[in-house]
Amino acid sequence: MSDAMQKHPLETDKERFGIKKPEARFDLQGDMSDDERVAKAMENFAKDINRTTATYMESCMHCGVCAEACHYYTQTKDPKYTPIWKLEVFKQAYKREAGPFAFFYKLFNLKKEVTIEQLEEWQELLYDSCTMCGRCSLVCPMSIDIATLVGQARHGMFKAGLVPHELHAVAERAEVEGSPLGATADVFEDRAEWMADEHETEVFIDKEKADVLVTMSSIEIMKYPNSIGATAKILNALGESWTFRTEGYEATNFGMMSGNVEWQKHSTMKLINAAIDCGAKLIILPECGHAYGALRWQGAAMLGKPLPFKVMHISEYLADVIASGRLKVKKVDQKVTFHDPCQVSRRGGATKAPRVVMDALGVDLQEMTPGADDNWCCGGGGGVVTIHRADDLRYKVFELKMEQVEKTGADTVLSTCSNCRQSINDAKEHFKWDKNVESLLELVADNLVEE
Amino acid sequence: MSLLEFANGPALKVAIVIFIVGAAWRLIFLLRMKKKVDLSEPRGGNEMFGGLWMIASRSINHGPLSDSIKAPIANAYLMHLVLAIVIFAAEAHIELIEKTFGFGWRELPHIAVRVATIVLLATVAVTVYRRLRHPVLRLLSNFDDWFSLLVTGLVVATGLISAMVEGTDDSLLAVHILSFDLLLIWFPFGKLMHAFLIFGSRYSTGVAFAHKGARL
Repeated sequence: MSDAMQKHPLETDKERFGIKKPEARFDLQGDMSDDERVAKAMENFAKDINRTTATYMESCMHCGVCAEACHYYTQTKDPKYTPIWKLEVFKQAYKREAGPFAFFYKLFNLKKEVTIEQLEEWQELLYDSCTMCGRCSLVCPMSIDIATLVGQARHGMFKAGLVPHELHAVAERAEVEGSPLGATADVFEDRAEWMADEHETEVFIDKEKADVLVTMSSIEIMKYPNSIGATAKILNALGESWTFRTEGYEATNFGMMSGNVEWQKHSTMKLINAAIDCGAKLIILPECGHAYGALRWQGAAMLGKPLPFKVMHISEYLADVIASGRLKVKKVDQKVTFHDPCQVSRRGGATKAPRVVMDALGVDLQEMTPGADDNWCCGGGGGVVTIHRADDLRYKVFELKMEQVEKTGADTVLSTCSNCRQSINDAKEHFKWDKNVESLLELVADNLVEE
Repeated sequence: MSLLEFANGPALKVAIVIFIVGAAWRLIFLLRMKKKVDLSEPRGGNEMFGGLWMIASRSINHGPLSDSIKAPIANAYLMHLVLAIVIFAAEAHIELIEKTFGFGWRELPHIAVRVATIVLLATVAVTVYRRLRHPVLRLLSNFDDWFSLLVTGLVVATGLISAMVEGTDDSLLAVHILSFDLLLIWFPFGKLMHAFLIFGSRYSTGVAFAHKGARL
């Protein structure tokens, strides 16, 4: 048994598949002094300050409009959940240490030094109560992209050893074992073979050369393995030259969510190197929201140059092959609603793709209100679903999603993110809710027109 | 030197210098910072257009907002609209602009400008009231918010009073100009700079969203 397994045993019998709830809370990592923690937090936050983020820091008018777009504020009416307030200590530090008038702020102590107590208090605001869904960015009169700033603040928090225990644990496990949920290469191969049998299809692993490198999320591998079979079935039906690669099969990126840039880079580089090694022209990312952001939009920054292949979310790929007539699907007589994963739709720009697929399937799509880019987050993104102490708050914000789904009259929620699916299933169990959440990918695979 | 001469002379000159140097420093400071280059493959939208579109469209499209926030937003719009009327349509202001820049335009009738000024003061009062009452705004508000509201309200109120009792006492006009001097001096350091920063902030997000093909 690995150290990571001993330190953070997995909890496998729950709808939310993650790290076992710790008996005591350990929300500090490392042996730094308080001063060192503050210094590390500020130094690593400052590293990422560029023209855009500094402009954001300068631009807030304190209008409070962002609160109205945040599911945490909307559901609790607690002002501390105002999105821009989640950045307050970092704004304070920026103005005192790095802004255009830092000299005056420091000289006259107009902005106080950030304290360890503040950072500890802000841990909940930056991790437990922000899914980085970016809904606030849609309403800010100054168009400040608060989610980006939260991600940057997490870089500082991680280096300061101020990450919620479970999120740190899964990120560490991913770094040490290659998967946050124990989906090591051996486990993956076993499950892929199982799914090949189950779906009566061929799964290619470690082919030397292939046009398409396919990846999975750890949640899919461990909790929703049918995704493996469904993907294989579709790619085989299309006659694609494709493969999984055991050196880069896992697209989740807990380094990114927890705030560790080095770990983020390690995870990303595994996929990039795997694609380069097999000569892939395309990486297909799984039904996972943050995996899409991590490789599609941040991958090139990790490599330091443009990626030498295309990157598509599985929903984009499906929309593409359906629109071009390469893939044919049967009509499905089912009333459904669709939950847009924030990182794929609102923050990823791929909002239309799943709708192209659902249109081809002929499902009776009942859109949520608000829906598509304006959709409410499921509450589990940004690593929040891993954090046990955030459960009550997460369930509270999920009530918004339940209300939205109920209003559509559909019994089935389709989604293209396994993390959303997991969060919805967990909340479903909590609330004894009678709706089902299903994968759009699996629905396509189950309804292929075989020629 | 009378108070009016002081307000209109050296005080105004110093205020203008501080305003220009301070605002330029704050903007140049930001422009000189490293620019993050996005190496990811764009989805195909025109990024510059996205930035410009965001600057324009965010003034119209407020995204998924609840009804409760629509009234405060309307108040903010009204405030900026009547502020523009008061600044650019009052006879005294146009005369000053003409004297400084050599060109002007037709003024609105006094009564229209006065009504606009009263509406402006009312919107400032509503803003103050809301900032005092609303839990989110109470939490977010700091010295910058209160002082910016104070200097803005002061300029508007003294302007209205001096216009209404025109010709009786120069000291009222002097106080109005002095309060304007104060506003100019404060402008670069606080949130009033949003008048300039709004372009950079909106443009940056518009470019980033257009790059991803995300909705602007």
